[in-house]
Amino acid sequence: MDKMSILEIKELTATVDGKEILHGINLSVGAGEVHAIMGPNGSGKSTLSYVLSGRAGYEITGGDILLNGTSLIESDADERARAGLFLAFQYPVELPGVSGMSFLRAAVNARLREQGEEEVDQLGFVKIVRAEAKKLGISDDMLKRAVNVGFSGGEKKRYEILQMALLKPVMAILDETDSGLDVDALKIVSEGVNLLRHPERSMLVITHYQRLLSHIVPDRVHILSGGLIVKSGDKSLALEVEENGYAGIDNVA
Amino acid sequence: MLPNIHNYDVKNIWQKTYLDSFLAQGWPSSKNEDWKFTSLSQLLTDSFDIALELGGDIAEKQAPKLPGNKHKYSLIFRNGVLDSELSHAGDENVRFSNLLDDDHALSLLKNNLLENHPIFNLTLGAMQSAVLIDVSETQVEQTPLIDLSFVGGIRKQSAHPVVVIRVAEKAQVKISEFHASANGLSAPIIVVDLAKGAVCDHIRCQVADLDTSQLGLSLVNQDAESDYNNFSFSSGGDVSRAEMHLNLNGENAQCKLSAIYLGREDQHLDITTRLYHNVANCTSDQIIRGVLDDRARGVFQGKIRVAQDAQKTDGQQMTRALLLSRETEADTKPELEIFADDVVCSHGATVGEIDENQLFYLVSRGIPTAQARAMLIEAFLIDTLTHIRAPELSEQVQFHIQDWVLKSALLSANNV
Repeated sequence: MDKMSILEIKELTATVDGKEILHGINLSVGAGEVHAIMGPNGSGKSTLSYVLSGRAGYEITGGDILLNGTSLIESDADERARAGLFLAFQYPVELPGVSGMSFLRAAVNARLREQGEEEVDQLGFVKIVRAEAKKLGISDDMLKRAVNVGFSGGEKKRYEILQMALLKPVMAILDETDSGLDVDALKIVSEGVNLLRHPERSMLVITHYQRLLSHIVPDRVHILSGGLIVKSGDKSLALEVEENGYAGIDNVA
Repeated sequence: MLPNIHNYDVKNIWQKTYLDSFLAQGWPSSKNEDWKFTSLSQLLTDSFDIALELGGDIAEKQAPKLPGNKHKYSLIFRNGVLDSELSHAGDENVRFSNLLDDDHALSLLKNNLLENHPIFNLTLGAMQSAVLIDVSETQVEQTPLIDLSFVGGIRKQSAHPVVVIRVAEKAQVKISEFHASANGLSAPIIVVDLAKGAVCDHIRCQVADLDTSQLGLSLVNQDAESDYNNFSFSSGGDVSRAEMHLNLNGENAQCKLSAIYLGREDQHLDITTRLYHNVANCTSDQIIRGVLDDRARGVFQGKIRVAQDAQKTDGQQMTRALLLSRETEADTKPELEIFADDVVCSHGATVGEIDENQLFYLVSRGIPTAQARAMLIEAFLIDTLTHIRAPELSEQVQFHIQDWVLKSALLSANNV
């Protein structure tokens, strides 16, 4: 029996600088499911993640994106985030001068306000953050620094997962979370993600390589090529890509 | 237009020389290199009468925040005239007296070689109140804090108060200058003279109403081993210039000058520094940040002059401007004049906009755009604020910054 779709992408077309990059994406992610999107460079993977999260400059020209049955395409990025969408960045952005704690608290409180819940005070929040940070091996020193400033590649990715843990999204998009990670860092980050798998949290894992998917095992795998999903299957499809490369997959240019 | 002096008689004959010099030159135009970006002859379109008496109410919104209300040593000038009822009389540690009665102190003022400087000449010629403050080395635990408030003001009148603060050997003092006039032109001169080993933390907060003109001149002299830390905040006035001339006259003296200016609408905000390394082994560090919105214009001119004998000088200067609108303009003119050969001097300047990547990162976490913009503007300024050593002095400035930033961020978010 099909579970209710948390994320539903219908015939989505989108342009960047007037050039169409996504040519009609259809995708449905059920509650608690983890889907992977794989594809060669230039297939539109990052564009898809930015279009979903509502980045300015990525213009939707057709189709729809539904989160829990509600269309997102008229909403700004901050509204989508407060509705429960989360994007873990491929390249997390450094924010010199912005204290990590006040950043995290501003984000969490924005979401709580949206849900009509009481905001957390500073003291209570520090406790929550420390507990989550510990699971991801994030030191107190890292928490005290400005957002992403002076973090290694692995630390930045762990910090993304920390934000996901705190914001408790219903739909998380992980954009090439494995890029720039060594084997050990990949393991820590993947374990962090796996801890956050939840029947009420779906994930879209965007990656070029299969290796991430042996740590975060997906329910479904989709191949994105030339701005279209050309093939879908179970986790074995990722192994097929590993074996034969994208060139070995039908319909992949 | 030039000030009217028909109603004005100089109190002392020596003042007439200065006033005549001013009148002969008039307000400077952009042809004057020092006023290239701040052409007062164009910017000051009103004519002014020289203010003669106390004037202008202290705006209600300012009254509760007047620092003078809570500190021991305070002077309040309204329309350039000392309001002795509201001011404190001083004591043996911090002595207040009439500047004109003290020849040495008067020479500290007059000996500054500011040839043909319009504000210097005009204010010396027209000063209404001239106060001398002597700070001696105190045995009390708490460093004395002197509050100087410049408030009130009357439309089309110009205020010209003078304060000379003489800090004795090894004495320590904190100075808080608060400029919040509601009307007219304000052109005060503040002189700080630091004897050997004296330490001074000085904050200047200029938050005057937008239809005033604010032309402040600060003159600082440092003897050996003295330590001067200045922070200047400007967000008021349709025309504002905070100009400082600082002389390092004794070895191993150090100074740190930081400044923030925040401009919106059609404001013209100018920060000008003239730093003279006259002797060896002194350090100076300048950090300036400006944020400009709407059609505001920001100017920074910074000169570092290192005399031939001033070896081992360390002089640093860094200025950055953040433009929130495409119609703003930031002009920067660093000048290094180095006559010694063994020095470390540098300057740098950048002008930029809010980084779209950073903004997207914040909003992608659900933080509303206005709040995200405010966070980034405050982050841009925070380095400068960490230079303030006396936390009790930075509170007021932080309040004004947050207020300004929030307003800008909200307005821009509504316009998107």
